[in-house]
Amino acid sequence: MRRKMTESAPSADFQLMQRICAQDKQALAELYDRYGALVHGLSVRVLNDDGRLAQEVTQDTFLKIWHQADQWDPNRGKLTTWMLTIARRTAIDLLRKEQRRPEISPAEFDDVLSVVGQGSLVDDPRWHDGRLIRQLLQQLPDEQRQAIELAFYYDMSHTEVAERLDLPLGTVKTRIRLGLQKLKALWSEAVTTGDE
Amino acid sequence: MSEVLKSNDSEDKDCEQLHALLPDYVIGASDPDEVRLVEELLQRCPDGAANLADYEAMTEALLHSAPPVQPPASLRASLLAALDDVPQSSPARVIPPVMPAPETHLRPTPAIHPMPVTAAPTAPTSKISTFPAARWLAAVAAIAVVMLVASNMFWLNRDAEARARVADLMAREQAVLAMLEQQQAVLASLGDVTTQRYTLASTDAGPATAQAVAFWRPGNAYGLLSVAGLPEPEAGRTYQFWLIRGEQAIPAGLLDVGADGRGTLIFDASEPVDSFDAIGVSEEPAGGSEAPTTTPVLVGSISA
Repeated sequence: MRRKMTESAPSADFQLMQRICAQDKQALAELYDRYGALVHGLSVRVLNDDGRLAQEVTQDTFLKIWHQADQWDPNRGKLTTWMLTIARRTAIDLLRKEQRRPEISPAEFDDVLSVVGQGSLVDDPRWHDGRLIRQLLQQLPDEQRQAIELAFYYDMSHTEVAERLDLPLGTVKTRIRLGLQKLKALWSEAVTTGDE
Repeated sequence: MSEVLKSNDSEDKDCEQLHALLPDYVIGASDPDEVRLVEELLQRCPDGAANLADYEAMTEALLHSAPPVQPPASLRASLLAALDDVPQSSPARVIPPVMPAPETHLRPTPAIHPMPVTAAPTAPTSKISTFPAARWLAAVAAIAVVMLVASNMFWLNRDAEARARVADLMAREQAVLAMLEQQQAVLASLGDVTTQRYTLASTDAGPATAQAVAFWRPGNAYGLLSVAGLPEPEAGRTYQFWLIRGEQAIPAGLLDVGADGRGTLIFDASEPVDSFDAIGVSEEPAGGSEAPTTTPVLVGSISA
């Protein structure tokens, strides 16, 4: 089995993944301790569920990581991005299997979670970009934000988003395109300002 | 000249088209024809790659934008147990999961067994060597027995102390885990559509800037209170949250408010929060009070 990982990856993540490739269960436990809350947060977000389903997705995600550790290529992206992509896909699959409709979260909950997040839960520079984009999302018109969330978090096609929001397909396409263009402009501006 | 202009014009059109297609492309919403077109246009538009990189960084941040939620403590054990059921694709080299030890400095308790007695010296030359061999052996054995008894008593006592400490630590660990699970349940419930939101308004006793919201799911005994705009309490003072039913105010937790005027409390009412009439926050002596001793600075009613 070919191992794609090289020394260019952040060393802690890289070493953990190397140990997981060697089927070191303790390494998976360490990975879970480090990123379990991140993965579970996305599961909860996509499923809008804090119970059995989200836990099932979180556990399945780590089992997939255990089986597919050698699929992570550090030259193609951060470990967390790879893990969250697996988590999102797993959650969406479960959502479809359960034939559940995704809920659109009201913006105010995110605001409160941001307040709560000033504590230890998310007090980590790793989540800085995520928190920034969450704030920027709130600057979009609600209709654009909702369409983007449905398309991105729930991997819904334009047609599915149109059905979910009861809107013409063309309107949904326009909202997603304009929303993402605006979000990207806000993001670029915020990142540039932050770098100065 | 005209060829150059035509070329630039074509390039501009490519870039415009790419600009319109990239948003869908980065979130995976493009159809196969559009994907092929984007990949062609990326070759022809000079700024295309940089534009795509910006979009990719943004979508990566989107992926990280869900607030982390600590899973229940039981899930970790469940995950590790599930690994035991997984067939290994390669032999050996499996390190069993090591659960965190509550007490790491414990020494192993020595086993109680007789020390081996070796043969007596065969060519004694010192004054002691004139001591008959049998009596020498008896004396050594007696000393060994005394030392063993003393040693075992010592370790038994240490063992009992250690067990008591472990039991105490485990009880505390269970309490902390239960609290964490409850906190996570509250945090996770905030995204639930049934969660109710209640606003607390500032009273004459509090600053006009003070505001607060409380959240809980109908029927739940716990919830979350978030305040802003309160002055940091003076030394020896604190803010206390109250659940009010009729004339009775029940203490529901102390609220840490920092220099930024913000504070968050996850509270447990022991009975459904929506069975109370109102909620409030007052300033109290450090450690809290059995009943409010000052006029509340924030109050809100709970409508049925």
